[in-house]
Amino acid sequence: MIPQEVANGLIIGSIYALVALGYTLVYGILRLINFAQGSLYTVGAYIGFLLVPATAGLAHTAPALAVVVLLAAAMLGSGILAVVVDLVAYRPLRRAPLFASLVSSLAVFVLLENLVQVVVGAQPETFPTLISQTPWLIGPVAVTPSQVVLVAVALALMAALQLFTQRTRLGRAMRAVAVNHDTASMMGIPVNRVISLTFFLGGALGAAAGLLVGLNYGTITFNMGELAGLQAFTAAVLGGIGNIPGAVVGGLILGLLQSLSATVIPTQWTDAIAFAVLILVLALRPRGVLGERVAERV
Amino acid sequence: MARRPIHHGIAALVALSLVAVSGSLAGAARHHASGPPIVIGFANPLTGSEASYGQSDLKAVELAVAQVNAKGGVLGRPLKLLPYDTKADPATGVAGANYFVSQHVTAVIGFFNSSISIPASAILHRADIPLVSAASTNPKLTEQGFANVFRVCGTDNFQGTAQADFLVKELHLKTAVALNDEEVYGEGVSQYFQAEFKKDGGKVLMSEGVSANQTDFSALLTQIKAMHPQVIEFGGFYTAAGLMAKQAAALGIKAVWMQDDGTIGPEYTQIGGKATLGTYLSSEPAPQDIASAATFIRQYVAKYHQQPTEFAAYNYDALNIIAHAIAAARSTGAGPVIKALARTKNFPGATGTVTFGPTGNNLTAAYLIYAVKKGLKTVPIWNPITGKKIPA
Repeated sequence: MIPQEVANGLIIGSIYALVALGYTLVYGILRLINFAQGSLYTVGAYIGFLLVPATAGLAHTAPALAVVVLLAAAMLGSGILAVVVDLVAYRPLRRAPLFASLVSSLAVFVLLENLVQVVVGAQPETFPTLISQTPWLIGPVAVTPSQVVLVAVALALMAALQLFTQRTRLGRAMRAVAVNHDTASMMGIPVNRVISLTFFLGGALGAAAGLLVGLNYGTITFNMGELAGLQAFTAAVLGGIGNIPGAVVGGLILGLLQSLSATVIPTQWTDAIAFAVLILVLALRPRGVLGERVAERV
Repeated sequence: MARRPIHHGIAALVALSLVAVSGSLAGAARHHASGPPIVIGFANPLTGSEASYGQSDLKAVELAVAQVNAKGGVLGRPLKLLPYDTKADPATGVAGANYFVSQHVTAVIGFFNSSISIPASAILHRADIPLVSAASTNPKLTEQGFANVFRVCGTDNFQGTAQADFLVKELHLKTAVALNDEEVYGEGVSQYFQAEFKKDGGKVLMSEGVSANQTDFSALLTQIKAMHPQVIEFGGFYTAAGLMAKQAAALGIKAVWMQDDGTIGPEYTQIGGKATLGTYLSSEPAPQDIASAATFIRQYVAKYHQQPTEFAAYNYDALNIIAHAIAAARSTGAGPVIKALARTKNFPGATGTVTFGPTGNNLTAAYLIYAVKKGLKTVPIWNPITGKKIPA
């Protein structure tokens, strides 16, 4: 039972981690909690869903390739949307108090969610099964190929992000902007372009999570970003917001906490656990598990 | 002498009312409704996760309104529908009752979810507005002593009982886990199921609520797997039901699923996919399984080019019963309409003959047990009243 719950926790935890990375990247650069991240996750899932008919032929012959195409399209679409959101809703407020951008991000979240509802409707939509859902039994643990792909893709994206920020010139520029906009600018770093890049990455990672959820669970709804967004925000704070490895660790810890708690607490409290964790972390250790100093600025 | 004008006045009033009556009769004869419309409130989840029912219910009621108006309306006045979207959210839904009161509607059809219908019925009761429910199956709705509340569909005590009887008496299964979505409706079905299951000699290993907004139920299902139940019963709606059936299959759980009438319709099998194959559900007969609904289905399909969902025919009947009651009462006043509704007996509806009992329940409503068969078709297989299988 415990090994199975650990597997369950890693699956939901890797989704939280991907979405949490979006919060953390933007926070790291702008000290802004971008609540629109939840709707970028939803939009990603729906971009994938709308492209399913177009890739139906491919899905028949090479399902793995179809998954890659859907993933790339969702990430690109949501990434671009995130950049546009920044240009329209946050950049004009850059010199205003941070609170203004925060409220603006909540407005963007509500706007995008309702836009999705208007465009595709309120009914749940179903994905075709592109990756097998027949369970493999590994000792006491049952996992489906679809779940393995979900975790593998999520981990690969997280590793790629870490490599990007640590090993590339653009990544170094991002880290420089995170430390200080003005100094970075004086060093010749195009600050606004780096900020756009950060939004793009955050949106793309959120979209990847949304698409993976659609492919694995098979059902998406226009309001899926509400709960996922809040839980991922919790994960980001838990790990230490602004800290990239922190978002990953926070997501996985939250996923494991929720699934393992099922062995002792009825599962109707699952959502409540996430928010109890959020309150406890904010009260006792506002810097999060990995203790990023920027959390002091909240 | 001073009195004479009054007598004149009365005579004039009598003459006027005679004119009015003959006017309305003439209106009916011309098959052309005129005068101010009679407004009927209609509250259903038109958006949100249960919208597929609400949208079909709205179409069914609109069809009935169009048919009544084509025949000259009621009392020579056309019917006008005032739709309200509850979003399946109790707070939004109950606000709808206040909205209807402010709009002085003659009667209300709604509110789909029992969790909304029950508090909304209290508001309509205080305002003395008749409520005919076409889909809220929680027994409490009609147990409040409200004379203004009626229900065309069945009640969950029959549903839960039918589920348990089928599992124990027909399939000879003895152990069950009972889940619900923590809504009045889902919890109600599950409680009545548990009571009957125990009475029939079965054992309930666990009874738990789930948060229906979740997409991942694996943590709970892993706990259930370790209990090895023969049956998992769920009181709730299709999204959670389909996701759970799918995730249970992925975990290798072999238990038999018993769902309720919140899952009848294509959504449950679409969401759950092939994991729903061989699962059971209890439901009032779908329009397609009721002989008397054939005409309704034909008209509905002709108008909307799609099949009506589960509760559409009940909503269609609700509107027609209200129209009939207003005509019988010869008034749109709450008192006479409520009295006329209470006298509804052997009304020939699409769902069968409707007779309201003393509490407002439809005495002829029945349930069937359905199974998801090859090609993910949901077909009736067992009749709890006769205790016999239904031949395919």
